[in-house]
Amino acid sequence: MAGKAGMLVVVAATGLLALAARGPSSPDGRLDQSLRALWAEQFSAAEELAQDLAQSDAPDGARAWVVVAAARQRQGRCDDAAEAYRQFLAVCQEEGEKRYALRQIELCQQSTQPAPAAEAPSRGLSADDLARLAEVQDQTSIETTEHFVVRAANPALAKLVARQSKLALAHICRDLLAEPDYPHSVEIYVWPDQSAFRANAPGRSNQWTGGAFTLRQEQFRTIRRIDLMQLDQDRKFDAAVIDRVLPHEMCHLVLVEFFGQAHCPLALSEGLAMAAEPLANKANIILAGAALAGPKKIDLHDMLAKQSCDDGDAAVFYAESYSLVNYLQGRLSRDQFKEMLLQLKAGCWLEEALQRAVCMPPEEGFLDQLGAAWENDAIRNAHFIQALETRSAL
Amino acid sequence: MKQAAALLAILTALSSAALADKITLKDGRTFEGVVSQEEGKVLVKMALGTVSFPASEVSSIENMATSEDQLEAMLVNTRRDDPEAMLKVAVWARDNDLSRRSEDLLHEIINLSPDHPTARKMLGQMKIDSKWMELPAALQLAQNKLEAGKMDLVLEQLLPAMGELGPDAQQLCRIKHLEAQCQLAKSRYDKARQAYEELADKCSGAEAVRYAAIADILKSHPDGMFVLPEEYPPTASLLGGASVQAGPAPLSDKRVLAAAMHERAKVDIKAGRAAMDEGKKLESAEPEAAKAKYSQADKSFDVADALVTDLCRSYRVELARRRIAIVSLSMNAETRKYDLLKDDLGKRDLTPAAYKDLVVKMLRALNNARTDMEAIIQLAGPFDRELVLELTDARLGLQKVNALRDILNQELNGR
Repeated sequence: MAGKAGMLVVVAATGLLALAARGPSSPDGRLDQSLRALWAEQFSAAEELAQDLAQSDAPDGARAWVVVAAARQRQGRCDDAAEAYRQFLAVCQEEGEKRYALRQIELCQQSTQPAPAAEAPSRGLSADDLARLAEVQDQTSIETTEHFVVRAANPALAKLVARQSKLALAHICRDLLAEPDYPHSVEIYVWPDQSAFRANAPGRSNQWTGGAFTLRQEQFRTIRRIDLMQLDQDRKFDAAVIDRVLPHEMCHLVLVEFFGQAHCPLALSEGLAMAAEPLANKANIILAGAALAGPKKIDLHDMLAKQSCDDGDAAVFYAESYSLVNYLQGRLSRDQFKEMLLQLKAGCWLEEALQRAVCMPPEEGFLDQLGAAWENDAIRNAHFIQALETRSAL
Repeated sequence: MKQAAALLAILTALSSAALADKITLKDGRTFEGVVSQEEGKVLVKMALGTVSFPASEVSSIENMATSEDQLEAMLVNTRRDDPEAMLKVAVWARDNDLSRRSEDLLHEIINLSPDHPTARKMLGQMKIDSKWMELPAALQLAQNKLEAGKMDLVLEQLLPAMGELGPDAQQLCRIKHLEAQCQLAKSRYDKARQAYEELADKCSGAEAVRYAAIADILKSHPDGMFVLPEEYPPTASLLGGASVQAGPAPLSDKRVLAAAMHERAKVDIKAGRAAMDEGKKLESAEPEAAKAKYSQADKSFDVADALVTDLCRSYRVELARRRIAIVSLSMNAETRKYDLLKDDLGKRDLTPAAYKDLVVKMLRALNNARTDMEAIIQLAGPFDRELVLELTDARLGLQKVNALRDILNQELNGR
């Protein structure tokens, strides 16, 4: 009995010694150790140390939950990380820390419930639907929603365009411009074919997209209008009208209204309009990368200086514009991107607008560095997409 | 031994004797000071002033030896190859306001004994890595040691030794700053906070603001953990380059501290921008109120720039533009006034008095315009790159105005 008791004491003492050997017993010391382990990418050790502290009685020890959460998140255990972030949220008092924790919980949830892959709106249409949408009736059908009045020579088409307009506007406002709402009404005209379009569409006709937008003052009201074409050259329903043209022209309209008299670089305007299209434009990604890697490239300085697009380099210009906007959107938060647009609207050049958006001091050669980083990224992306396409083809 | 005793005797005698001349008057009074004689008078310069006596009243004058003389006398009796003996003389020289001579003697001692600790210390030198160096170099080396991770060496050996070298106020701040950095690097957050608080008290201007901000950050995060809301620097993802990941991080890392300062600066920028926007709205109707708002904005930007250098430059350029716009309104009004008055010159038949009156009014308008142009030049000056047009315009305008003033002044003087 005495022997067993003695053994227990020895075992207990060994355990205590081991615990002491793990690190200082003060909460500060443990938190610091766990942070250093996190930084050294020793995630398991960081999690263990931090959890030990978080679950102890140490004052403010519960703040260590954020280290537990970060360690779990960086190991890819998003559900567990979200749980730890919630524990941290319960004790944090600083607004900045609360916002951070909430954002991380959102990211964790997104990673475990990924958004469905983007699809072309026309993908859900059957052959019968497409045939029906190609019909041109004598009477004009009108379909109205909160923001749109759609006129088309086909009732099903008017309904479809009204529905897609709503979705396109939501995407532009929420995801591209981070604007709360577009508080205006837009008239959309869908003309049966190119000759009707040319005869009736008042706005700038865009040969690249096959649509037009108009924003002008007429007497005492503002005309906001988009003109589209129903049929392609084979007199079949042109699915591009809902897949590309409608969101593209809508984005131009919203941007022109957003910027007002202020100047928006053409590259940004066209890039955003293409980014408004629901599907990633792989052809443009590949073209941009190829152009930037070769003699046909339009460098960033020239891109930003362009006020119009010559036929000769239009394809490259559009492709690079799309690539540039994708690059900026991928690297700025939504708030930062919105801030950049607001600063452009206030009259800043892109360089200054970006520096203000990310809140950094002016830097010599900033635009050159940005151009170089973007080009490298665009070339890399082009190779990647090309490799994927090649693999799919095989 | 004999020599040392002799030196000691001289030193004792000299230290007990007065170092001033002494006069004795015939009535027995004595006065000590620096004595000089001129035109039948004896002058005694004392601490509080100079007194003079007729030479006939002076019984005797005792001229004491000057400190220089005394030093020479000491040196005669000192072995120049004995560092300790020389040290005593050097100390005496220092204590008797002969600092340059003292320094020369100390250098002599070092030539005899290169590692003589007292002589080196008196010369303001300390030994680091087997090299003797003065405080500025020692401070730089200590900074390098800190960056190499040798905080214990800096804290326990170098900084205390520096404190004994009699640093000036600026050097004391640098020493304290090093201490604060070391404490922070060793995660001693409370000690670091105290050091930064002391620095904030000792320093002034932007430095004090910066130290106060660091102290406050450490006070708000006593556990030393800062949660970065985004990667730092935020341009890293745009331009490429190394960055600190968003999330929990230790303030003992200087990049994390820089990120925390950046977050703090953003608050001041936001306040500055809000004041600027309010000013913009007031510009046309209430320009003075707008100027007050712009001054408010300036103060917020001053704080932000103290935390992150040059962070607010583009906003300051915008502020300068706005202020220039306000001044330009006044300047344009004055030049318009001048133009209208000038038109009158050609149109009417004027009496000499009326002509003179008109010229005076034109001059007044030009003077006001000139004041505005000078104000524009002052506003645009710090941003000569960004506001080159405004600056050039104002300078050219000023040349023209000055030329016109000269002509008008000639007109006035000629009449």
